[in-house]
Amino acid sequence: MPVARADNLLSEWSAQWPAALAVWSRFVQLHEPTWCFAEAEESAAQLSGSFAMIRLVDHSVVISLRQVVELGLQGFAKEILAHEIGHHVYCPADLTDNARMLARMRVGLPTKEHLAPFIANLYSDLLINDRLQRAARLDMSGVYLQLGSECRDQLWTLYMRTYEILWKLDRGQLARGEIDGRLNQDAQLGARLIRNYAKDWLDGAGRFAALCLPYLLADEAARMQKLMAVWSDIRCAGKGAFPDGLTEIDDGELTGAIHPADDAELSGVDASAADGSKGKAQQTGTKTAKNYRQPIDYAEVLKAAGVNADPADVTARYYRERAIPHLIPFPVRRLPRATDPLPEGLDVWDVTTPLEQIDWLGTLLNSPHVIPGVTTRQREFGTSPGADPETIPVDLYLGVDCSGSMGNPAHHLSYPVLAGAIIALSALRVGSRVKVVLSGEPGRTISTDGFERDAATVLKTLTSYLGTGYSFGIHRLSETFHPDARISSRVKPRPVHILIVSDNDMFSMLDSESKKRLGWDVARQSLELAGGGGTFVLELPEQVRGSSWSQNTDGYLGRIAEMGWNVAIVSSMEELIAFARQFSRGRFGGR
Amino acid sequence: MSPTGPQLNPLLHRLANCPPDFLLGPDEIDVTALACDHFRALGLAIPDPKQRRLLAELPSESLRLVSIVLWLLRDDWFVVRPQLAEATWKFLQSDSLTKLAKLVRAEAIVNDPDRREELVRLCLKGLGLYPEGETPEYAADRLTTLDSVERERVIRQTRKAEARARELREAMARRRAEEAAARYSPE
Repeated sequence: MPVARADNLLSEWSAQWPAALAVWSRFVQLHEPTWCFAEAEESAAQLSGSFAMIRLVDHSVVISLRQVVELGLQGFAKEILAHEIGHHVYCPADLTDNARMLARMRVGLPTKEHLAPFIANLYSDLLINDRLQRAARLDMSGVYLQLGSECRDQLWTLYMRTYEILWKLDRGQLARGEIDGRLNQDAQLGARLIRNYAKDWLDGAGRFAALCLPYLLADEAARMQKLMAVWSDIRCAGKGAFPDGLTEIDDGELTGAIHPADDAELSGVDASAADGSKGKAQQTGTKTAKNYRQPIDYAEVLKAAGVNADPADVTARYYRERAIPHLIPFPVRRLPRATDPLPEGLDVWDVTTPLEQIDWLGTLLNSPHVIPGVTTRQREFGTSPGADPETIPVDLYLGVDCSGSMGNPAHHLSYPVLAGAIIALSALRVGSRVKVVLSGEPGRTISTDGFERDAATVLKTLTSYLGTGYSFGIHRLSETFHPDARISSRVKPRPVHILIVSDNDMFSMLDSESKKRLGWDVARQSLELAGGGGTFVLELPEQVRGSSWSQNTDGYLGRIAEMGWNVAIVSSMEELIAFARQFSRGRFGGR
Repeated sequence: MSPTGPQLNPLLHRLANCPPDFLLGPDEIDVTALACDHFRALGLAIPDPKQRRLLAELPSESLRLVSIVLWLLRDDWFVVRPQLAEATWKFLQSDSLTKLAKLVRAEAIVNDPDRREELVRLCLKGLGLYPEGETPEYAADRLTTLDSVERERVIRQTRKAEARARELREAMARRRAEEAAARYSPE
């Protein structure tokens, strides 16, 4: 684009920015758009295909003036800018609502869930454009007249016919395709939906998706997708951020994805009068229990929202969000009498002592020449009675069974892994360190480097999956808990609680032998060396408990308890919460 | 070609302000008497007893709609045009009004913006008119779009498609539950 022309266009469009903001409110504050004049600039701004886009994470608007000129939209500066602002202040307005809208649309698009972002763009555009055309008297219809299109795609025809009905335009002014009775009525329903749900647009999202579904079944509106690619401005709206609160399924998300024809308020036809049927089920006044998404559905919603994250991070975040409401007071070790350190004097520091114990002031006062082991000094401390009882955090060793029988926690909710996440996060909260070991033996194992304080690393390891072997390798405990092994690098090692998450296959592993040691012996010794107690969290579904299928479940559980291990059965949310409460009242006491 | 009628918006406002008395059922108000009052307002003689009996024998939901129409047609624009009386009388007993009354309640006619517009346009069509400022084609197209009878017919067909979509969703949900349950089978 010639420089002079670009400058003129930029100054014209830039001058319209305050007016476009004022269309919504004089209090709206958004920074000016990023203006792109060349393809290289568009790539740098991550704008591809569309002449405009928004990003919710940094409230930005990106406009390609190069494409504006190519499409002949130079005269619609206020319309286009006000439209993009509308995505920031009206629909979807924020990351979470954007994701919730997509989740509701996915319910209304069975087998076509991947088109939710496309349909969401159409829906939000309808809401915004209707407000701009009618309330702000902007020429949004002019933008569509300029953009298209002799396209005869059925969905495009429906979309344009909806605008014609909303704005009382002549038939065919925007919609050039065939408009039969069915499409005309669907457009009328679409128009009523936009008007009725203008304030509660989230509730209308599922209905709009259900309205569009029949027009997607044949060819997914391929031609319209290509046409609308030039103005798919919220396709990447959720990029760069993780919206919160998506593990829970909203009220209305599942029940709201009905065809508008089934909504008496939209159809205007009483269902019983129409065909004698009862129509859609009426909602009762009973509040239903919370519903939660499966991890795989959670990942799909985030993907639809444009969140481009490592799948392992997504899974970790899911379990973190599910765990947070259930965190417990993690047991700590309390000393019967607290002591306060009392500085008593200086002694020689030798090279076998940790470097951090050098008292540099004392060393330099002794001699300005620092000779390790000769002139270096360390502070000696005695004790004096303290006022507050001293608590020592108990570290946590979390062993997770990653064999095939446990299932992949990234696909379906694993209650034992969730229990592990609750315990791990609770431990980190009180200053404990956590080591996570995943094992599917015989097979593979992965673990954190040691005892960690970083919640992200802990959760990411905890929610990984191997799918090898048949159980957690109980003999792995000896790698950490061995008389000669250093459990930690700390001068005074802390007690460690061992939490093993597995299922009934653990019984066979305990019976097995490795390096001439039975699993039972390893478990017993590890418990003694850890010093902080141990718990087996076992996922035993109803059909396995008390079953005569090849195992004496009660016998094994009794033998585990005799060794000094605690046992918790967790196969449902209720059992998980009960386990967490019981754990918090463990023998280390409450807070 | 149909002659130009009144402006649409004043009629829509009038309908939105329909007094609650006109929404009462035929056992509380005498709709035939209302119709006769309308004729008197036009300066005409009231219909003969046979005609009045035909009106009174309409179903109750139709009579509720008739009283709302009479309120609408008492607008000044119609009162000064007594030549519309015969068309009015025919319209009050027409199939189109009867079918609408079966599908949409009287309260919805008054409270819903689209239903108000539908009734106004239906009345004008019944009197051989179309709104001022519109073309006959636009007026006809707009009425077709708002037509509840037509919409009911389409909805009956659409419900079948929606039922298919619901079956698909339920089948997918069942498949996911089966996959989750398969995890617990003995290896």
